Amino acid sequence: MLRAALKYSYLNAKTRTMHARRLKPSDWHILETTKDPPAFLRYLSATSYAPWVSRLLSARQEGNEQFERFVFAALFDDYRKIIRSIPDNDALGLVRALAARFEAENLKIVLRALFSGLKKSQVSHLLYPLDQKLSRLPFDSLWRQDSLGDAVKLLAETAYGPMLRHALSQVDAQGRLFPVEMAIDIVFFRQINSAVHGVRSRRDRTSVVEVVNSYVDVVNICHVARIRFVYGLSAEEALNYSYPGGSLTIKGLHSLAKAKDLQALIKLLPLGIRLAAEGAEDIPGLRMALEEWLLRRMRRAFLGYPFHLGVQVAHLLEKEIEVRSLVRLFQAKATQYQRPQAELVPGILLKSGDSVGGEGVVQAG
Amino acid sequence: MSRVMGILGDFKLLHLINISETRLGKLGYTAGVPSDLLDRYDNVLESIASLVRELEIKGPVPPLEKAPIPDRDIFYMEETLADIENQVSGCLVRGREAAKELAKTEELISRLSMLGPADIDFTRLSRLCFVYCTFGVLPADNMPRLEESLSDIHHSLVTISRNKDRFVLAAFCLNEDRDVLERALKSAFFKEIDIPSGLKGTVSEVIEGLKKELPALETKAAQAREEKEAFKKRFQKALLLMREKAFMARLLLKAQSKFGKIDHTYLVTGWLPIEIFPRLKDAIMKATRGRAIVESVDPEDVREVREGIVKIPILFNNPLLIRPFEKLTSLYGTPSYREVEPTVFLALSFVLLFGMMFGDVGHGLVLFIVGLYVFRRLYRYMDYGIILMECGVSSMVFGVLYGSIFGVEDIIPAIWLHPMKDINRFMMFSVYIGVGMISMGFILNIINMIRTRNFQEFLSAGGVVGALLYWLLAGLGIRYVMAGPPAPVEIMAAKAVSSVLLLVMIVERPVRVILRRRRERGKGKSPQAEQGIGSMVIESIIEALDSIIRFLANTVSFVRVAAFALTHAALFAGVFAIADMVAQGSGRGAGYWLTLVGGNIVIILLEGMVVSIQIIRLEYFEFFSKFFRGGGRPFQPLVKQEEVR
Repeated sequence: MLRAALKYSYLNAKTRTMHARRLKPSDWHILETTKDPPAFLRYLSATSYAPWVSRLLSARQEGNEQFERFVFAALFDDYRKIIRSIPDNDALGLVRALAARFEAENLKIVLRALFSGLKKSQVSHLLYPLDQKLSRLPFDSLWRQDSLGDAVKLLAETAYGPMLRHALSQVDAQGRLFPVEMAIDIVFFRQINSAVHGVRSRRDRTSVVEVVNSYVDVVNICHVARIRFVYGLSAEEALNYSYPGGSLTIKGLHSLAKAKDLQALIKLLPLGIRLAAEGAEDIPGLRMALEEWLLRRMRRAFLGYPFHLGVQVAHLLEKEIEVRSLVRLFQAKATQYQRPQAELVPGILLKSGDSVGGEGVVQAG
Repeated sequence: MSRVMGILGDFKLLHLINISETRLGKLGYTAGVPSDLLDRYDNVLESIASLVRELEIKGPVPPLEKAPIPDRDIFYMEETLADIENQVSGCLVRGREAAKELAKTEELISRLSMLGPADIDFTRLSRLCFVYCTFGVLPADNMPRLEESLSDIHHSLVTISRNKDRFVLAAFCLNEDRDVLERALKSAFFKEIDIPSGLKGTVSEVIEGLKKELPALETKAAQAREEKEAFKKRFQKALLLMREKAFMARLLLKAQSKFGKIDHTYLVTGWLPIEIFPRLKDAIMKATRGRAIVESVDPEDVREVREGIVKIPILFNNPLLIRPFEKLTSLYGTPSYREVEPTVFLALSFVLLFGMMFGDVGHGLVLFIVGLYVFRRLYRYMDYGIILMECGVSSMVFGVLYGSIFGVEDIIPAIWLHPMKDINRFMMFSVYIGVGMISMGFILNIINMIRTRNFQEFLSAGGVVGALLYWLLAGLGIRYVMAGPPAPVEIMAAKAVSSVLLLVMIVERPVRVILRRRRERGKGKSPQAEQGIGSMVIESIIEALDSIIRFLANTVSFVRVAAFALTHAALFAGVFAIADMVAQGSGRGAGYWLTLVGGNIVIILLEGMVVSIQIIRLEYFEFFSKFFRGGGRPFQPLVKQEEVR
C-alpha cells in the first residue's frame, strides 16, 4: 500500500484537481439557456475551458467543426498531463491506448479522404489536434500517398497493418470503405483490451477492468444497435463487426444482434444495464441512458481506496463524455435543434449533489 | 527556313533575341511555333519512349553529328519508327503474353499450395449438389466471432493450416444458407482464395500438372526475351539517336517563337561570337542558295542596346583549367559586356591562396587523387574534380616549399620556410599578396572605367587617385618593413603627395557638380534640386577617410592567409599529440595509426572547407568589390546539350 501511495499520490492529486474542474450542473443550466452560439462560447470562456475557447474566439472561428477541434484540445491536455506523471510503463500503455481512439478517428478521416480523392485542406477541420505524445502514426507521410492501397502499405508495420490488409480486400470486393473503418475500430479495441490485461498490479487491473469493460460494453451495445437498426445489416455481420473486450460474451452479443428491434435488444441486456436502459425509445435515447449508467460506474472509482489507476482512466473517460455532450449542446444551439437538454447531456451531469459522484468525490483525494 | 534552323542547331553558339521584346515583335510580326509539327514530334517521342521502355534500352546517348532539319526529318523519323514498331510489336506482344501466362500459373500454384495440407479433391467437390464451399484466409482473432455468428446454420469451418495471425479455411454450408455464410465471412474479413472452376483431381495433382506446364511457358518467355534482346541490339543506337534528333528538332521548333516573320520572310536575330559569323553566313547563303540576307551589326549601332532594352549577353570563354571557376564568378554576378571578365584572375589567385593556406605534399596528393577520381568517374561533377586537382597540385608545391608531408616536417627540407617557425615573415608575405591583389583590383577598375567610358569616377577613391594613394601608403609600409623607417625627406614628400591626392579625392565631386550645373545653366536649363555644395564636401571628406580605412582593413585582411596556414600546421601538432597519448596507453599499434589517419581525414575535410570559404571571402570582398559591377546577362546558346536530353 505504501508503494501504491508513493506511486499515485502526486498523480491522484493532479487528476482529482482536473476532475474538480469539470462543468457544474449550474454551468450546464446556463449553457442550455444561452440564446445562440456566441453567447454559449462567451459563457464557456468563463469556465475551465477558457484557454481553448478564448483561442477559438480570438481566431473568430465559431463554426461547429472548429468548436469540436478546440474543445477536444481540453481533453487532450488532460491526457498529456496524466501521461507526463504516470508512474509505470504498463499504465502508460493503457492511457496511450485510450488516446488511440482519437488517433483511430483521424486515421479513418485520412483514409476516407484518400478513398474519395479529397485533399488535406478539405478535411483538416475534422481532424483531432493530436501531437507526438498522443499519436505516433506517420500522418504526414499518409497524406502524401496516392491511394488507399499505398496508405495501407505504409501502415504495414503499425498495429493496424495486418487487419487493414485483410479489410482492403473487402473494400475492393464491396467498393466501400466501411470494412476499413470497422477494421480500425476493432484494432483499437483490441489494443485497449490487451493494454488492460497488460497492467501488472492486481489492484490497478481490477479497478481498470471495471471502468474499461463498462465503457466497451456501452460502446458495443450502441454499435450493435446502430448496425442492426440504422444500417440494416444482418445479425451475423453485427456480431463480426462488434468490438472485442468488455464484459459481454460473444454469445451475449450474438443474442443482442439477433434482437428484432430496440426494445427486444434492451430486454436482452444484463440486468444492471437493462435497468438503466429501460425506457429508451431510440438509439440516441439508449446511448444517453447508457452514458449515464457508465458515468455512475466511473464515479465509483473516485470513492474508497484512492491509489489506483482506475481514477485516471475514469477521469479521462468522463471528461470525454463531458466534451462530447458539450459538442452536442453547441451543435444543437448552432442548428437551432429544439430538444430538451436531457436528450443531449447525460442526466447525472445536470443534477447537483448526486449520491455517487458530486463534490464529495474531490474531497476523497 | 528549315535548313537554316538545322544550321543554327549545328553552330549551337547563338543566343537568340526574342523578337517579341523588340519593336518589330510589338507590331505583331512574330513567327510563332508550328503546333502541328510540334505535335507530330511529341507523338514520335512518345513512341520512341515506349519502345525504349519495352525493349529495356539503356546506355550512353550517342552524340548528334548534325542538327536535324525539323520539317523534313519528321517524315524520315515517322517512317523509320513505324518500320521498327512493325518488326518489334509481334515479339513484344508474344513476350507480354508469355510473361502474363507464366505469372498467372505461378500465382495459381502459390494459391493452391495454401490448400496443400488438406489435399482437397476438386473432382469430388465439383459433384456437391446441396453444399456450398469456399476457401480463404481469415484473421485468427476473428475466428471465435465467426464461429458464433454461424451458430444458427448448418456449417463447417475446416482449418487447412494456420500461423500466428491467420487461418486458411475451407467453409461449408447448405446451398440455402449461402447468403448467411457469405455475409458472415465478409464481415469477418475473410479473404477468398480464387480457385478457377473446372479443376479436376486433388490439389497436389493439380499443382503437379501446373508445374509440368511451367517449363514450356518458361521456354516461351525465354524465347520472347531472346528475340527482344536481338531487337534491342539491332535498334538501340538508332532509337537513341532518333530520340536525340527529335528532342533537338523540338527545341529548334520551339525557338521559332522568338523569330520574326513578315509574309514569307523570317527574321532571326541573335548574338554570337564575331569570329564564327563568316562561317555561319557562308553556310546559310549556301543552304538558301543566296536567298537570304545575313548581316552583322555592331552592338553600339543597335538602338535597343543603346536604350538598354536589350543587353549584350556574356559568353565565358576560358581554357579548360580555368573554366570550372566560372561558377564562382557567376555566383557573384555576370560581368557586363564591357567589363573585364575576372575568372582568370580569380582562378589564379584561388589556387595560389589555397596552396599557401593548405600547403602539404600528402594532403595535396589526396586532394589530387580525389579530384582525379571525380574528374574521370563523376561526369556531372567534372568541374569540381578539376578544381580539386588544381588545388591539390598547389598544396603539393607549397608542401615542398614548407617541407611538410602529412604534417611531418623532417622528411624533406623546407625550400622556403616552416610556417610555424617563421611566423612574422610569413605574415608579411601574406600582406604583400594582399597588396598585390588589391592593386590588381585597382588596375582592373581603371581598365573598366576606360572601357565603359566612365571617366567621371577617374579621380575618385576607387579610381586613379585612390590607387595612387594606396600605392603610396603601401610603398611606405613596405619600405619601413624592408629597409627601416623612411628618411625625413621621404616622409615630407609622401605627406605632400598624399595631401594633394586626398584633396583631389575630396574636391573632385563638388567640382564636377559645379561644372555640370554651370553647363546646364549655359544651356538654359534650370538645375535640378539637389544636395548643397557644403554638405557634398563634408560627405567627400568622410568618404575619403572611409576609403583610407578600407584600404588598410582590406590589406590586413590578407593576414588570414598566414593564420590559416598556421592553423593547418597547429592541427597537425594536435593530431600528433593525441596519437602520442594513444601510443603511451597502448603502444604504437593500430590505435596510434588510426588516430593519425582519422586526424588527417578530419583536417582535410574541415580545414579544406574552411580554407575554401575564406578564400572565396577574400576574392569577393577584398578583390571583386574593387572593380566588379556585374549586372550582365549570361549567354544562352540556342541548344544546350543538357536541354536536348
